[in-house]
Parts: sequence; C-alpha cells; structure tokens
Amino acid sequence: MLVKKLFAYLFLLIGTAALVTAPAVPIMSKIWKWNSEHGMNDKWYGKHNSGWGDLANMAYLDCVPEFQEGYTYDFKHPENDSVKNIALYLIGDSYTELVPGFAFAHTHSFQYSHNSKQFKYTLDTSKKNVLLIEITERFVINLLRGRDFFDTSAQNSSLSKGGDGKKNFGAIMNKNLEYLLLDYNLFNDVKFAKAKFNYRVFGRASGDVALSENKKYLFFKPTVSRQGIFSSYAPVADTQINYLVSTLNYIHSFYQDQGFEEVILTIIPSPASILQPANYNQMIPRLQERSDLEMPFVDLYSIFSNAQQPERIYRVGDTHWNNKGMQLWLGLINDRLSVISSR
Amino acid sequence: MVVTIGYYQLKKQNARVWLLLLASCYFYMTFVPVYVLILLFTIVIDYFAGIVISSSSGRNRKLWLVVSIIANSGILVFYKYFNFLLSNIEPIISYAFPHYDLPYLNIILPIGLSFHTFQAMSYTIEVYRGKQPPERNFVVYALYVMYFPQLVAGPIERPQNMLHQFHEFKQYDWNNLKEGLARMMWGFFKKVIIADRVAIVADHAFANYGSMSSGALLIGAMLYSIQIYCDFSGYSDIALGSSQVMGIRLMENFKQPYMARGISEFWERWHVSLSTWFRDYVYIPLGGNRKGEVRRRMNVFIVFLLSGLWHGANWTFIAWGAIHGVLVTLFPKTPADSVKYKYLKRAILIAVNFILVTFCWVFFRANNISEAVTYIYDILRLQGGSSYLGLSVTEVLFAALFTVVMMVRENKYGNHFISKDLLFWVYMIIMIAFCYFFGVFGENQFIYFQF
Repeated sequence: MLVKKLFAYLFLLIGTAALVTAPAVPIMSKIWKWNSEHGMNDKWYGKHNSGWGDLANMAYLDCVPEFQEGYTYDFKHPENDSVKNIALYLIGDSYTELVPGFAFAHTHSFQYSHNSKQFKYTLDTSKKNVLLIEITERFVINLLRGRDFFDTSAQNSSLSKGGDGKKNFGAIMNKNLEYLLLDYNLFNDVKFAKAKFNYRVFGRASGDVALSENKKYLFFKPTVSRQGIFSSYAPVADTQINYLVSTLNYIHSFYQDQGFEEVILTIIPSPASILQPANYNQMIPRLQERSDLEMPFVDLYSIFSNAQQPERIYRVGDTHWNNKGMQLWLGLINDRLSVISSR
Repeated sequence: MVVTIGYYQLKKQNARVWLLLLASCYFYMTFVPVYVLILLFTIVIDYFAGIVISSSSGRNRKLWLVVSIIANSGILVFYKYFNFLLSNIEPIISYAFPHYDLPYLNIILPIGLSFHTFQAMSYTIEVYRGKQPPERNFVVYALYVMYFPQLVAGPIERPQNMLHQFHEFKQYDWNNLKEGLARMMWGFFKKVIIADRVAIVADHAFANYGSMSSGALLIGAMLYSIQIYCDFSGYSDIALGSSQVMGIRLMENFKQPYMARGISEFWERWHVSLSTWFRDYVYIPLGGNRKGEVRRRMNVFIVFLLSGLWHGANWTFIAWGAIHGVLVTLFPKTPADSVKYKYLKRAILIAVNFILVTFCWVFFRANNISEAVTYIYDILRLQGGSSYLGLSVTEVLFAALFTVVMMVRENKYGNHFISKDLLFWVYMIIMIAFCYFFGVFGENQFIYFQF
C-alpha cells in the first residue's frame, strides 16, 4: 500500500513538473542550453547524433547501412588566382558555412554571415566589394516575405519556430513534453527498431522525414508535402513570383546603394527539386526567367538538374549537398568572381 | 495520468471539480491560450441565464434563453462563418463598390468551437424546458462546458447526464480503471494504426485525382471513409475511456455505423450525440412528424442542411449535408431482414450503403464542390491512370487487415472490460507495442478538432 502511494506521488510529482515546465518556453530554453553546455545530449539526454546526416538522425534511420554515408568537403585554392582584388561577403546558411575564404577565387578578404541578421560589415574601399547572398530553396519564400530579410527580429522568430514559421502553441508544447519525458538515449534502441521495421517492411520513414520514391534518399518532409512554403511541390502563384522579384530587386538596390559593387544571388535547389522533379513547382527557373529581376543570378539549378548523375550531388541521409555539389557551386561562383576581378 | 492520480488522491469532491476544471483549462490553453476567454464569456452568460430562466416566467424567461442562444451562436457565427459569409457576398459588394476592401478576419478558429457551443446551448434549453434545474455551483457549470475529455471533439453531452456526475464523489474502482484504459488503448489503435495510415492513401488520391485510375480513386475514397470513422470514433473511445477512469460516464457516440443497412440507420449509428442534438433542439421544435408527411420531410432536410453547415464554413459541407438530407428523405426506412437469404441480403445492403456513404464523404473531404464532382465523375467514367496509392502494397494490405480486425472486434467483441488482471496487462502491453511499432505518428491531427 505504501509502495503504491509512493509511486502515485512520484508520478504526480514528475508529471506535474513536466506539465508546468513544458509551456514555459524560457525555462525550456534554459534546460536545452544547460544540457548542451554540460554535454548531456551526448550522454543520456536528448537527441542522438550519429554523424550520418541530419535526416538519418531525425528518422532514426542511421542504423540502416543504406543511409550510413560519410562525407568530407575538399577545399582547394583556385587555379590562376594571383590577382586578389575582391573583398567577398557571403550571407549564407548551413550549406555554405564550412566554405573557407581561400576556396573563393581572387578573394583578398572574406567574411561569412549566417543569415542577414548577423551581417555587419565595413567596406574595403581599396577592393571590389562583392556581396554573395546564398539562400536554400526551401527558405526563399520565408526569408523574402515582406522586408524580413532586413528585419532581424522577424526573421529570427519565424526561423526559430521551424515548420512554416507559425506552428501553434500546442505543437511547441508537444515537442517540449517529448523532450522532457521521452528524449533519452536509453530509448534509442527501441526507436531504431521501429524505424528499421517501417523502412524494411513498409518502405517508409517517419516524423519529419520522407523517403524518396526510389527509396534511396531521405527528404525533409516539408519540402515534399503538397502544401506549405517550404515545399518544392506546393504551387507558387505568379503573384508570389512577382513579389519575390520585387523583394530581390529591393535588396539588390539597397546593398548597391551601400557601396557594394556587385550583389549576387545564388539559390541552392532543394534535393527534392532535383532528384524527384515530376511535381516540382519550378520556382527557381521561374524566378531566373524573369527579365525584370535586377539581381544577378548564379544559375545552379540548371547545372544540378542537367548533371549526368544528379543523385551524386546530395547526401543520402542529409538535407545538404555532398562534396560534388559543393564543388559545382564553387566552380560557378569562382567563374563569376573571375569575371568581376578582371573588369 | 497526472490528473487521474491527483483526482483519486483528493478526498473532497469540491477539490476534484477544481482539479478537473484546471486540467481542462490547461488542455484548452495548449492550443491558443487567449481563446479560453471566449469560453469564459459564454460560461458566464449561460450560467446566469440558467439561474434567471429558472426563477422567472413569461417573456423574461424567453428573453434570457434568446440572450444565451444569441451569445453562443453569435460567437460561432463570428469565428466560424464570418469570412465564409463575406466571401459569398464579395461579388455583389465588389460590383457595387469596386474599391471597398471587405474586412476579412485573420484569425485561427478556436478548437472544438462547434462542440462546446452546442453543449452549452443544450444546458439553457433544457433549463428553459424545465427538464434540468439550474446549476448554482459556477465551477461545476464551467466544468460541464469545459470537461477536457470531450471538450474539443465531443460527444456533445447533455446536462442531465453530466451535471449530477460532477456532484457525486466517485470511489476508486480498479475495474473502471481497467475498462477505461483498455478503451483508450483501442482508440489509439484506431487512430495511429488505421486512420493515420489510410490517410496517406486518401490524401494521395485527393491530391492526384486527375492522374489516377478509377479503381485507385474508389479505393482512396473508401479508405477516407475508414479514416474518418477510425479518427473520430477513435477520439470518442479515448474521450470515453479517459473519462471512465475517473468514474464519469459519457454517452456513446458511435454504434458501428458502417454496419448500417440503409442511410437512415447510418444516422442512428454515426455521431449519435450530434444527431440527437439536432433531433431534440431543431427537428422536434420545427414540428417533427406532427404536421404531416411533407412537413416532416422538409424538417428532416433542414436538419441535415444545418448539420452540414455545423461541420464547417464551406459549400462542400453544405452539399454533404444536403445530399444526406435528400437520401434520408427519400429512403427513411431501414429495409427489414428477410428470413430467406438473410445474411446475403444484409451483406449486400451494408455494402451498398457503405458505397453510398463513401460517395457522400467525397464532398466532405474535397476542397470545393467542383473537385468533389470531378473526383466522382473520374470514378464513374472508369478511366485509366496511375494505380499507385501513396503507400507500398504491403502497407495497403496491412491497413486492410487492421481494418478487418477492427470491424470484427467492434462487431463481435464490443466490450472493453477484461476481468482477469493478468490478461488485462498482457493486452495493454501488446497494444502499446503494436501501436508504437505499427503506428503512424505526427501526421494528422484529429479531423473533428477543426469543427
């Protein structure tokens, strides 16, 4: 009887603590921070990270050999690169955050900023100042809605929430409760078993991860759903394209007025747009084809979609490209930098 | 679990009611916290309306009933139908005033609005009719409207069934707990193993109907019928089970509707709490069957039209209600079982009725009327096309197997009570493991949450 009562009170205590903590977003942030600072996520608390890729981790499919693909990025000094007359500024994201300055041609100085909110700069008046804006396709609509590209608070809030930037409170609470009660590494074996079972028997991934039609790739599910601003398959209206063009033109003229000699845009296609293009909404080509788009465009989409083996551009269990994809992009960027350097 | 343990630890009913109310507020506020104020507003109005109605007579009595109904339905109309009404008058306004921007609302629909509004209205109507004394304990009345197991998707309860239960001190009963937990597990089974799995097929069919074969489209529509049943009745099972663990009984909402032999019988088995609500508060006040056959049929049609509108602000729901209204008006009687060929005839009637209901669900599921009509036309014209259903063949077969298991279980072994403790624990462990390994998680909210 006493044991029963003790158990009841223990459940009551733990449950009440979880229910009170989960909706308190600031407290949850502190718990997250404390856990990562003290290495708890690697020990017994939090998500596992096998290194086989973010999607493989999320779907617990990193236990399946098909998705255990390692990666290394091979950065070299460009050839014929003796003239260093460019000050390069890159506003990028996780696709480009690892690229070192020496990999860019004719670059005297290089500054990387993760998204525009961190972009603080001083122009080098003795060099050609070039601003390269890299956006991953799934973030294009989110980043270019309104003038959020410059409004750091709006950008921060919409990005940090994930999804379409408007997840409801219930979804946040569910995530927090799951983190507090179920995200322990000791449960991982069960999670791996379920993921493996669903993959082998039903040919399906779970959660925010979808399997490609040929079952060889993992996609971030919002990029292949029928709706939502992250999706490569959700229809994009002509009015939306008009709006994106006007925003890009605004950004272009803004930075030119600040003194940048060249402002270049590069959009990294979502893996689904290239590897499974049947229902692609054609957002990138439609943007590129617009004659009234004033911002110069590095056309990575054509290169990727016409590549002989597009399946070798992206990592199988990750949202990002592999070394080949990276090199194709660097080649295009360096060609453009060479033209600017020689002007 | 936390609420149930806390509930049985408390030794005073008053404290238990407070606990349930706080838990209900917490539950509701996890969606859009500020919307709890909408509930509070209607609760206050209806609470005082109930007291005033019971203590007054004549016009004053009627006046307070009208105030209560206007307050409840006003909120429903404002949040649910305002934009729909505007979009329908927009062509006329735009023609008359080309530069006038209509004031569309940019709001999220409060979750379960139609459910708790109807439940609140049933209270004041019953008090007005003298069938229910007014509830003088404000906390108990607030709990009647907000009781968390059925707050967002029913069953739409009646005050006669609920209010007295909130005054009774329920003793801890292990059998109640076992039955409630087993029923909750069964609800989870229907939701995560069947509904959310067949939803993948239905979503695929409704997103790609132009390129799919007629056979695949028919399967997609039939699986949507299965999805909506398992989704909604699964939620009801979870609601009834979670309430039962605290000793509080809710009304049954489903009686194996797809075993109905005709459309009228279907409506005696589907979403019973809503059907009886419309019967008691709309059909009978309109005259029911007391004013001749023509009027009766008209009343039936009006009820179904309103039922369609209750589901959502879209012409597809109105069309769905209207079609059911026409069918029930035309075929009011369930065919009698004949002695000869009893089982065969019954099976044929069930199958025909299921197909009929499935075609009606197409209107319910489609984004607009034209999509629904095209979908049905594409089925009927026997077109070729893709037969891919959005799931592997293995998984479709699994879904079919689970559906058969579910139907046999509900038809033959409807009881959730397992008397032997060992069997109960084995059942629970197997069901939990089954739901975890075969379940599809995080894909779809309960369909009826949106209403």
